[in-house]
Amino acid sequence: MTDATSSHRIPPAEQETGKLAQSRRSLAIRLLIPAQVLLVFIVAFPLIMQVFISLTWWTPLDGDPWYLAWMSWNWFDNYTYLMQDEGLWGSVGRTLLFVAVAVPIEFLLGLTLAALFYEGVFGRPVLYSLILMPMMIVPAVAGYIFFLIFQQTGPLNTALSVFWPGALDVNWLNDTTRAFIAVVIADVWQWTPLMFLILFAGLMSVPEDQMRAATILGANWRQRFFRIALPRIKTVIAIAIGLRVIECFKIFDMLFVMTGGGPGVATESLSLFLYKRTFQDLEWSYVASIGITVLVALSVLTAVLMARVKKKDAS
Amino acid sequence: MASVTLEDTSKTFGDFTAVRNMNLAIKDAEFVAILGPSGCGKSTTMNMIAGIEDVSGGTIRFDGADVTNVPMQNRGVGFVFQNYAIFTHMSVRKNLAFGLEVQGVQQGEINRRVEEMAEFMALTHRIDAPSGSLSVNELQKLAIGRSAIVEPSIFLLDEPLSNLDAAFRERMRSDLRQLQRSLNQTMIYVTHDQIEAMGLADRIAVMDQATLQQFDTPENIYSRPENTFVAGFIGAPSMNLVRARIAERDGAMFADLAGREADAVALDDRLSSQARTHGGAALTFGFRPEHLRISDQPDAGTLAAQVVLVELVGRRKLVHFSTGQTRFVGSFDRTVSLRPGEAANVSFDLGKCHLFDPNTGLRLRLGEDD
Amino acid sequence: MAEIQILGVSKAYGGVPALDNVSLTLNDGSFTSIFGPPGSGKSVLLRLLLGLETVDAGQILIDGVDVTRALPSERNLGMVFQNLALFPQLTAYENIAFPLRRRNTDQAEIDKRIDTLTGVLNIGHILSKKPAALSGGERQRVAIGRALVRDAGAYLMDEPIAALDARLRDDMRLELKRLQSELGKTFIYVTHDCDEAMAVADQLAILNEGRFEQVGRPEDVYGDPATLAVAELVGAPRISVLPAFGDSDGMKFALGRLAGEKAKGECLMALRPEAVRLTPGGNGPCSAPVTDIERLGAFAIVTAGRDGAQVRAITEGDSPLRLGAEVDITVDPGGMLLFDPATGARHI
Repeated sequence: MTDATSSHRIPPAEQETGKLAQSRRSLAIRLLIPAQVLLVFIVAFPLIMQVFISLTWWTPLDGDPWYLAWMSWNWFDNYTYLMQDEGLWGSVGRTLLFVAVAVPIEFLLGLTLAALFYEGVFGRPVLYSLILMPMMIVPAVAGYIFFLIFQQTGPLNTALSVFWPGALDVNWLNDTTRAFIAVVIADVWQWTPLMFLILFAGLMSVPEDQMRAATILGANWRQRFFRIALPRIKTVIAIAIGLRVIECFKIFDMLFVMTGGGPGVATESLSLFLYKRTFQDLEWSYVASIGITVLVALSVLTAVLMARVKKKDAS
Repeated sequence: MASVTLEDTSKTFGDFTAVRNMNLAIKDAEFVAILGPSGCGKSTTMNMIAGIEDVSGGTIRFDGADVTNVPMQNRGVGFVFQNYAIFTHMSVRKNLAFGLEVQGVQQGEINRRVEEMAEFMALTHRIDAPSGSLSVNELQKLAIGRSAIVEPSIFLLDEPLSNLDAAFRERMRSDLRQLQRSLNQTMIYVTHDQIEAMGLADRIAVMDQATLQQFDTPENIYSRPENTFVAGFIGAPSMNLVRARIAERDGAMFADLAGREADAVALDDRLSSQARTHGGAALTFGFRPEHLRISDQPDAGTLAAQVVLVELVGRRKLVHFSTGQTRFVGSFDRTVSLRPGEAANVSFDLGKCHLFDPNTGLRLRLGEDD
Repeated sequence: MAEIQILGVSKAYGGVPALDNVSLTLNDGSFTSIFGPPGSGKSVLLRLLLGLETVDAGQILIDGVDVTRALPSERNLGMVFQNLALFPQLTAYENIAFPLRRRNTDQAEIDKRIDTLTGVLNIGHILSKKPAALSGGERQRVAIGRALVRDAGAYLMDEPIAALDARLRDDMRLELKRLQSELGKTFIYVTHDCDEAMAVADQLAILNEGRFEQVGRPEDVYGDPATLAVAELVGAPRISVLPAFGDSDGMKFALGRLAGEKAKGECLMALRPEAVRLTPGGNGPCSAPVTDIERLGAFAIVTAGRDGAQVRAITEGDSPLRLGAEVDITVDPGGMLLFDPATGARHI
């Protein structure tokens, strides 16, 4: 709590003045330098190399080493090509659709579980471990498990056929729509626990006294949850969703094992698309240009959002 | 408006007894303070009345109805937490409106009552401010307003003024008195500050170590304390409790406070009767610092003592005396001139002094009304 | 051993001044209380003294040495914080020893110092316990011990006993006073409780809105306030302030006429509650009905007045006055203080 008898607030660290603050700041800088240097080598150098290659036609099939790529200089041809590449945009669209479907489902399920847990439903310790288990499994392995489950004569159809005999004819992984659904189900199964974990931690940080005050004022469970708990964990929700969106956008291993991007390109995410172009078609300069484009796009987006947030903070 | 009754109510946490067999009958529209040092069980008692803690034994009744097992959201009590528990993510207005909104009151009605309450608590100028930006004093008023607006029949306050500075506390005391009178509610107020309890309550329930010590009007708690604990807890500075050897001389009872028989203080009729009835050779003699006088002449009613320390505490002077064997404190007007090292003859306003049993701590009394 | 001088210190946060050209001298071995309402700048002043922040203008000298830009560790000051800041995982002994261990003091020296302190603070029996197992008062004493063990030049205390209950506060007040005179060190004590400030201090400094309104001995500040603000801040219950007009007949104000002091014309009249006498009646030159009675055992605060003009008086705890009764109001000489309505300065 703030000092009860002084309305003066201690200023945040950035505003502190004086020798003490200065020596603290210089120590901070000195501690950060090694990491910064490492970052330059790991990030800056490959980045420059990538930009270089993206401006050429070079592929390893040429037989020349990469620093000779200037011989097939093409300026921005790769970039103009990628703007019209249906394959690329198709995979981007599919990935976005995937994220837009999977993440909200994970969020709502995770939130429901967190809310139930918070109110103290039942068998907490055991249930807690059970809920977290899917997250512990290697995504590729999970992909394989679901590959087996969604087989036409696999366990899922067999179980469903108890209620609905026609189930055994349903082909999941060879149907464009149903393969997408299957993949969404697999992702939701694996990552809802993460949402649950983060949201539950957020709920635990809601001050108990405020919940009690709300209860005494007559609020029922729903009113307490939506008016007190949820608004207070807005930042946590944003972090959870942000984290998941970023990770989900990159989805690769589960898809690779479950469908390989198929049938056709029905479940080909952006990562899978890039993988195929890089390791099957060996179009390295093209892929380099895609990478740079994505980097630039995301940087601009982040900058705009940060500027918005900073403005909101200052007002 | 509701009476609150605790019948043999108790609370244990494992082996630890927080509240032991409380029997308390609070009348409708009464302002009761539960007073005691930290750890005495006062907050636990209040939490049981609110329903925040469930009861380990006994019953709680509101207006005769058994509410022991009624969950807290259905008890219809108002509760002001010690740290206020303001919904800091909402504005002042929304905080005030909360209790009405969850009950489904009409929006127009809500607006009217919110503005009324903001006016009453002098928060109108901050009504749309985020509640996180309020000062401690304003938070306090908001906490009370938020609970009061739903007009609960029983209002519980848990040390609401303890975070405030001394000057503001004085003002809030009179505001609270006005609030209670105008709303005509039963108010139960937990505090460790006996000035607050004395100034606000119709009756005070003094607790110590999980047990109720005395439940009585402030006047009686002050002038007829049940035992040495209550006697010492009420009054600042606290009552002097001095071991006295009781002896009878020439038909009169004398209390030797200094280990000098010749200097024993003659007791008046009331105290003498008490001492005779008790029959013990040693008693605890209790006298309040404000009931000490300085005499010019030593006589049978005075005690010779030396001034050890003089403290100027606002408009009073606290003078610490020593008789060699005992030390005690007198409270005088600040104009009195006594210096450390001086000798003085102190006399006692015997009508206001007390005798206590040295073992049980209970106050001696001749009858029920003493 | 430290005489502290604060010379013309100013500090502002984001353009809002917290301290405005304040100066104060604290003699070596003195006990100075800094008292003021919330937001007056007390905590800011302490932070500047300690070196947690730098001044915008002015100087701070300790024993004649300019420490205005020095790091906290270079200033040799001890501090007791309001929230104690005891390390919960260390025993009381280790908590007190902490500052010495950081300076690599040897064990024998540590034991010796703690020994002296335990006698003075009466904490010998709790040294092996952890803070969670100690009562509020015991924790307080351990925190004070930790500050004192350092043998600093001066000790700063920020509301060290505010969180304790009344009886413990009374005891601790005496102990701190006794400690200070035994150790002979300079103590700077910040509090919001005016009675406490007056009881402990040799020198009382009233800080209000970033300025020292008055600095002097407690009895002088109480009996002879320089400004209206000082009179209102120092003294509990609050002094009653009413606009009045003085002429040869006395002081005329909303409730009548009081035999007055020698001031002519418009002024603000402040009446100390302990000097106001209320007698049942209502026919005298100054009278009003009783509007509030607060019985506090040893005494009662009775308020009498009409509309906005209210006068507070201290009476016997069992005063027979009742709400609504008409009373005559008189004021003892010396209980009436007159102030200029424009500047707030005192009319002598």
